[in-house]
Amino acid sequence: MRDLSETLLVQHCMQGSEAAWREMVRRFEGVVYGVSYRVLKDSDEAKDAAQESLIKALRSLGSFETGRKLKPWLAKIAWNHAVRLAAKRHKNLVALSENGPAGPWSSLPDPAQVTEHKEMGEALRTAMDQLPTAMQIVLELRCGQGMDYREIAHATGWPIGTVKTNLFRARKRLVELLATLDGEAR
Amino acid sequence: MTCRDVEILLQLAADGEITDEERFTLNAHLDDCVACRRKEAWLELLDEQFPAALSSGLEQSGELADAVVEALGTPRSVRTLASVESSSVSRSTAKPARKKGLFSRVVASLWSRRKRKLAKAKRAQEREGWIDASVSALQRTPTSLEGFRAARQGVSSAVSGPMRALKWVAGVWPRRGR
Repeated sequence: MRDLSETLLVQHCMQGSEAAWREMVRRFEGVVYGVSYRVLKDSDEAKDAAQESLIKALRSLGSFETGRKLKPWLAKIAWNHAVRLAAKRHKNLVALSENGPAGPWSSLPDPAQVTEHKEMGEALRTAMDQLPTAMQIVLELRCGQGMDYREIAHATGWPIGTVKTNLFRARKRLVELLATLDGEAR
Repeated sequence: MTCRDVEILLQLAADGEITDEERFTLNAHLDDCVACRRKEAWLELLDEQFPAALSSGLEQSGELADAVVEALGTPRSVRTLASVESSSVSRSTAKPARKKGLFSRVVASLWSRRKRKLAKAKRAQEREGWIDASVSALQRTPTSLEGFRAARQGVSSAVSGPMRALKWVAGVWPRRGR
């Protein structure tokens, strides 16, 4: 099952193979959970949402267009489901500029002089959580899941230009936050 | 090329979306600009650290797969999930056929009566169409003898069919030879 192409995996899933279902979950639970977590901001809620999204996806495999990639399709399902859940709980999703515009990069410290890189992972996680949801989503899909601009646009329903802008602002803001966190830690 | 343009190229490079020409321009700028080299170093650092920062949160324990498989039910080897899903939906939502109640039967009866009445009125209207035709033909003022003949011909052609039927019923048509 692990070597199965996506097309064959879909076929096996549609034929009701439990092993194929498990393989599908194994391959794509990361992206589905990642998207859900970025929207819902809660690990337990995100796990429930990921489970529901995967069930929904497996049940609607008939509508999946053969030849396309599964990851953007699943990310889209996860995104739509999580957004719906968040809307029910009145969570704010689209505050893109809540932290104000990003400042000039020239004011940032040299990355070679910041805290030890092995501690960077934790700082990065903290900084990510402080970003607006839209920025977190594009970073998650691009840097965490390796999806390209077109796939992210497909998953989120945003134009490619919006994806690029969000990604650009997100990185810039993230670097600023990291620099700030590093300054506070010293 | 300004440093602002380079920021965009740096991002394209980080995402693997940069063209060879853009890469050449970028490298030429980076050779001369310390600030942009710093930006590049930050982006590289982010890319290096992202996997570790983003992957934590969900352990691949198979727990999620168990829950999904359980929710989907017993695997079937022949039927597709879509058909399983649709059949389960139809089972749950389809209402069993039941005998109609008194109210439904009264409504159905009134409705069919209404439909019959409407059909009858339509037939009557069609039957009376020839009267309207004959009246309009008579209203045309003949300006000459030819016009008068034409009008009479119109009346007779409009009237002839139904009149013949009436005469036939009354037994006065067809005329017998005198």
